[in-house]
Amino acid sequence: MQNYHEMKKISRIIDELLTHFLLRYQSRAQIVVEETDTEHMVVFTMDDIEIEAEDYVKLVNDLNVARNPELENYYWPLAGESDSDSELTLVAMMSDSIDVTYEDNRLELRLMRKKSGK
Amino acid sequence: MINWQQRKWQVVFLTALPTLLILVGLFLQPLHDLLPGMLRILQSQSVLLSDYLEIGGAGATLINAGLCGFICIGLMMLYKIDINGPFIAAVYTVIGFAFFGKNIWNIWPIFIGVFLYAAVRHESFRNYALIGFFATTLGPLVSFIAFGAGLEPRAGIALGMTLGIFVGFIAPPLASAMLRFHDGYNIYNIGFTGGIIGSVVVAVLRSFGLVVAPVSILTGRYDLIMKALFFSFFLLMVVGGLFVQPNRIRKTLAAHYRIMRTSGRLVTDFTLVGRYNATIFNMGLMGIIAGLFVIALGGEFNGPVIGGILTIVGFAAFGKHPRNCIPVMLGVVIGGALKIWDIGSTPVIIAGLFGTTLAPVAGQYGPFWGMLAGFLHTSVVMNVGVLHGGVNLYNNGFAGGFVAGFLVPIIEVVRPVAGPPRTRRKV
Repeated sequence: MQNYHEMKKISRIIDELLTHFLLRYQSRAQIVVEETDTEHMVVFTMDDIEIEAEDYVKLVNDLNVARNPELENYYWPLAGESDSDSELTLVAMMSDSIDVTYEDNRLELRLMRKKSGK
Repeated sequence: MINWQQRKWQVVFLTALPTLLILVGLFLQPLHDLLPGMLRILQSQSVLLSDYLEIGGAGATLINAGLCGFICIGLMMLYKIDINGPFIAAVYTVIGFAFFGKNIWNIWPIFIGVFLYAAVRHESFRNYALIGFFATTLGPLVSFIAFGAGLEPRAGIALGMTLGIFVGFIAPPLASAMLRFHDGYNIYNIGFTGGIIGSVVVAVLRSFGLVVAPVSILTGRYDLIMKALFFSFFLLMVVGGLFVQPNRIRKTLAAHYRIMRTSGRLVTDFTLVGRYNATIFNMGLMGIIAGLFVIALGGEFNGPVIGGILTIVGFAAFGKHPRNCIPVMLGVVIGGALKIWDIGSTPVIIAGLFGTTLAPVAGQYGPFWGMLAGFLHTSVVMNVGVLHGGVNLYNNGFAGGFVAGFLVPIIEVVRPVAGPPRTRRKV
């Protein structure tokens, strides 16, 4: 069951990222998920998009939150749920590290999430 | 990594209210009557609406509330839990409801149940502490079985504690599952969860012949003292939030503006959005607004009303601000004026206070929908309490779940949110 929840949480993170960016930008999005013994890595890229400076700062701020198991265990089902609101902070609370890069109109997010107990 | 200097001030802030309540409580009731008063509280059924100010006296009630707060803060210290918006909301909620239903005895079986759930999942209690704090909404179930069901005392206490441990054990998975019903638009999600659990448990109890029904034990005797106490505290929060760093007043106001721009939908932690000064300022401001709301409706500061105000103040760190709360409160007032209830009665006033569980509806979709949510909430909250017989203290959270689950999908259809402007791919 724990493994099932772990997979569902990864799916929710992807759902939230896709919903957030597809609502804002009409472009090609790519998602790669890699799994090792100890962690999951989600790499989200979107090409040919123009992000306003203010929006980029907000994006970085929203994602600049440490992993928080106290909140993650309770609220993770909300990720990717709303039609009109986003939960990027919740995505950050479910990730151990997030690297954001935006160069040449290409946005790349690299999320690393350690498996429970690893 | 914990910043100990910062954490020290956060602990000082969080312990301020329970410390104040205990100190004031020691002076509000003769010392020789404090222990009997506390025993009366511990032995009461505690189902809605059991005003501990009437049952145990003002001193015992304030001390009970302060001690309940310290129990939660102690657990947070023990498990090294961050002091953030959700936990500030949880501690203030426990303190608020310790004026009418939670006490230093009936919250423990719930904690033990949550602890056992964490142990079964090979995880720390820390990961479920937030649910544990909020799940004490079902404390009256423990008290009712122990002292209100007509059982032999020792059997009643044992059965009550067992049932408390059971509901604590099942609360974490249910709390997460119930979020999907309202998509986070009902801030008191555990109220909805507790309502479902309470309704099922009470239905079983009733099928064995037990009568579980709400009561109405209220007093306005301590109205003036409580108004003076809490308005002073809220004013101190406003002033403290603004002036604790005098060179940062403009930054604090700008941060509060950022807080006001959020919808408040779960999970919106104001200590992340606006940092601590602006959060404390918002908490004090919301306390004053809630207090004035009660006075404007001609209400008294009794146990349930104080509980409602303190819950708003707590959630002013985790989703509530004037922009998303006032429309809902107005909707409840309009509903109260047009419907069959007395607008100045405690049930309508606490519906207005706790109805702000629907604040994210106003925050996300605008004041009209917020008012409509409040208007509907008045009717729903007056009808769902009978399901759980008053053992779920967050009855408004239970009702709010229904209103949000009913209203939000309709709003999404009739008023699609404009959303952020969509940028086309470069050609």
